[in-house]
Amino acid sequence: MSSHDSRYFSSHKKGEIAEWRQDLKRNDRDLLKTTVKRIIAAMTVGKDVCSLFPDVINCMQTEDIELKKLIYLYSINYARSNPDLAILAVNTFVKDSQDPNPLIRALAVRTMGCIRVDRIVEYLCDPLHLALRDSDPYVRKTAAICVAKLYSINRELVIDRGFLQQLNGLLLDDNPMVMANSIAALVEIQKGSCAQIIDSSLLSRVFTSLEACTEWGKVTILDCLAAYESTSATEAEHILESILPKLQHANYAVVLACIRVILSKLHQVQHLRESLLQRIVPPLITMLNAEPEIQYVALTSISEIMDAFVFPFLHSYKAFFCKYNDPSYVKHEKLNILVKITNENNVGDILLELKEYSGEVDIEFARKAIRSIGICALSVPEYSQGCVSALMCIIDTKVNYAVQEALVVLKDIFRCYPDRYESVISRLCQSLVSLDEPEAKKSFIWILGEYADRIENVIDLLRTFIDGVDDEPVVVQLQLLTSTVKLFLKRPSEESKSLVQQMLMFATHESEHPDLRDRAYVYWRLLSHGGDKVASVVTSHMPAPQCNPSS
Amino acid sequence: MGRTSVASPICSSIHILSSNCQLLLSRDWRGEVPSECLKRLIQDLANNLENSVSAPIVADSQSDLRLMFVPHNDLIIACVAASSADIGTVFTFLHRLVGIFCAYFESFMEESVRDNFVIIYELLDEVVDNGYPQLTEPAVLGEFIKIRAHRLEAPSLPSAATNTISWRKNGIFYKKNEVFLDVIERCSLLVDGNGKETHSQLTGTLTVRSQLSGLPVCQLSLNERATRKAFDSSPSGHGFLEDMTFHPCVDLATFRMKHLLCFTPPDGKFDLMTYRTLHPAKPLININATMSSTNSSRIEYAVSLSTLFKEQNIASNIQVEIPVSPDTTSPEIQCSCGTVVYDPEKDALLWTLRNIKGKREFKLQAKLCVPSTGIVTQSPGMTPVRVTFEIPYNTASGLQVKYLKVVEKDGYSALPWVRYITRSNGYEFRFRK
Repeated sequence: MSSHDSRYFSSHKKGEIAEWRQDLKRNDRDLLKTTVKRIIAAMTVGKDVCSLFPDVINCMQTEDIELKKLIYLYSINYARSNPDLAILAVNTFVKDSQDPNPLIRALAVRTMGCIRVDRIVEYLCDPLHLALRDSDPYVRKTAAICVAKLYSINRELVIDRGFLQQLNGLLLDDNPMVMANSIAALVEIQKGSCAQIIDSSLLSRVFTSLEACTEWGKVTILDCLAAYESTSATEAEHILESILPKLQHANYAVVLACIRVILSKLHQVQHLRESLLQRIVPPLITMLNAEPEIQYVALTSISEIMDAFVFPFLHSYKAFFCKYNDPSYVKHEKLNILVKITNENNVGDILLELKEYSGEVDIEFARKAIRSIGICALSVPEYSQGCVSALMCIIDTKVNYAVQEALVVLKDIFRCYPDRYESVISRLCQSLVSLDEPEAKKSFIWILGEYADRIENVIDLLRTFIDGVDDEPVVVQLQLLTSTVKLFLKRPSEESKSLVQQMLMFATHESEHPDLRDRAYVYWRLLSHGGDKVASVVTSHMPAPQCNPSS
Repeated sequence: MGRTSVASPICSSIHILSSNCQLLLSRDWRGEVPSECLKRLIQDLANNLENSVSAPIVADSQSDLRLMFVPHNDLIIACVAASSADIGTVFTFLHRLVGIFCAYFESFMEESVRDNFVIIYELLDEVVDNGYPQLTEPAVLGEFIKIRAHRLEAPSLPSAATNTISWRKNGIFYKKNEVFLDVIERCSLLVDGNGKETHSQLTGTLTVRSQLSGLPVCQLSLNERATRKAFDSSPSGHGFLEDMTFHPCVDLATFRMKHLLCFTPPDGKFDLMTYRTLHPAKPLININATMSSTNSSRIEYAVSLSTLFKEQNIASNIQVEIPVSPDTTSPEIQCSCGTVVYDPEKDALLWTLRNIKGKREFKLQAKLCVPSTGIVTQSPGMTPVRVTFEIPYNTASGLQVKYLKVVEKDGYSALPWVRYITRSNGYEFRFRK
């Protein structure tokens, strides 16, 4: 069933505004409604229908609630650009705020609060006082929010006219929605502090509210509890006991807010820490079956909690394996978590998964998976052999981007575990495809320089790079310079000497990059000094790279 | 998680956009979003979508505002909020909003936004006030915001709009009182190239459709195995339900004390409870798929499907999707049961079987030609073989309903109906190495 409002969007011809103005003046209820709908449709698609303001406002006094809602909607949008004319609407608002139908009373108060025109605000105060005391909870809950609106326009007025006290009174309202909105309004007025809502003496009342409140109100209350500094460990324990059942709420926002409370009180209840952390894991893992956006929220939350505590999640690591059809932002988050959760017990399973991901169609993701293998190798030294074999398998596939990424990763592994995996270098050199990424080139050239004495055709390999040196980015040129000098020191020969000279000439005469030139001069001077000292400076071991899973 | 400010409004404005990022409808509550900022955010969103960056959050480069969105059919439902707004609440709310629109309009699409813009404005007005979520129960909203184009009487406010039991209105009457309970379990499984289960999970939902008069209280008792874990807070507890969540109508205190679900149901259909287990006993269906190429232009697939569930059960509507290289030609297919078609759109063979019993095995063999000029950009076989199926009258977890009782003060007798079904939800098998 649909109401076919789309017809209101059509038939935009010239002079329609004048035509609408005429139609608004006629005393035909159906025509009036159609015209206002057309005007709202025009407003929706971004046309300026501001000039009709006085005419539309004139029709405000109507019994038809649908029409009234539309005109109110219109006035919210255009009152600010017509502050003088907006005053015309005040009478109707004030009258409507005393209508026998609570829907209309609430509508009037709600709309007046949305019209952020200073001059109207004065007229809002009296109706708002009445609305806050209204017999119908629907009006009261609307009025509670309206106090916050008023406060953002004119705070002195709210304080002078005693609205804050009235709002505080509503905290005791027996209606859940009124209560929830009063809390939200008070928190907003106090700029996110909840000092007046929660203190030790009020706690039991807060717990009653938490039970009675709407689901969205629960989120607000729980957030207040999370920000509340409990005075003692017993009190913290008491709070936690009262909120724990909310972990099983069907609304994810409530569950997440509940988890925030638990985390905020954790430092006060050291003896319960482990069991509490165990309690928050199942609901978070459950969220991994929800809509992808919710999964994303759960994953980022888990990731953040893991920075402090990994252990509660350790036995659930399989929950973070990627599904084939997960959206890529979910996959990336899962990968971040897999890297954090890797330890010597699960590294085997995780590595198999990472290897699988390295062949995914999503190239960014595949690259990240390959980088993750490297991080595993650095963080679990016992399993670095497994990681190196996995990387070699990837290199054997000869898929261009995968090989280049694996190369960068292998370089770090070589640096971290010197003299352990150099046996793979010859296999590496055989599988190389054309390198076109600076980072990969740099890594490969580094490997060539570092292991110049073990790679047979190193001179030929380096020469191909040197021949095209002037097209390379500076990072590659710098590495090429260093590696050529290393080559000369490790395999002094006529050939390597001529390569060094070629490189030094290029860097000092052709290049305009100061870093490159300076570095070349340093090497030149060192080399012209000669002796063993040079080798100890140039070929000394670099410090092992730091393993930083989050990067 | 570690935010310092608390309880900010969840949104400044809500926007409905078409899939190509054309603004269809906006509602701004707080006036915090300058129009140039909104333009920037929408432009960034469009760029992201074009570059297939799918992250659901777009941050503004020049302010503290963020756009968060949920795609639905050909629409994007977005909200703009300050960065202090909690994304968990925002996304939960956006999904709820989509749910409300879906309940109102049979299909919520670009077309229906244009057709119903007046109602959408009305709904947004009730659902959010000043950036705080208000009434989000479609059933109750439906009481006073109606789709009817011509409404003669002024609508009055239903008492349920602000009741403590906000999910049920007064004075519901049915001639025949019935309550239907569906226990639906969804299994997911991933088996790697060595035939090892890498991940398996089971989620379940108890969906209730209630057609009951008055204000009834229902009591539902589940078998012991199911409820044990819920009370055993130690992580080593061997109960099999890892996590349970309940509809707000369930009295959690009674559940804790008596292991009994007591609730006054909303009228109509709702999810009473959802649960999850990490380790369902065994895979229900196993697939062994291998791929070999005799020469560069010919690939052979061999797939065997075995049903591992009890012999007396029957799985129905089984479909196996076997991914093949793109642009394959002249498939030669043989299978022991069911029908196979080659779907060039999906680059897959679709093997369909109507009904199969437990403890059986079925085989399929296929030979395909691939263009030998093909450049191997991607090592083939990365996409797993996927199977979908359902097994009626059975729960994979072993959860069972002991009884479902309806108590109402008028003392009518109500008929409870319980059904069980297990469905696949991502059953994937990688090709064997």
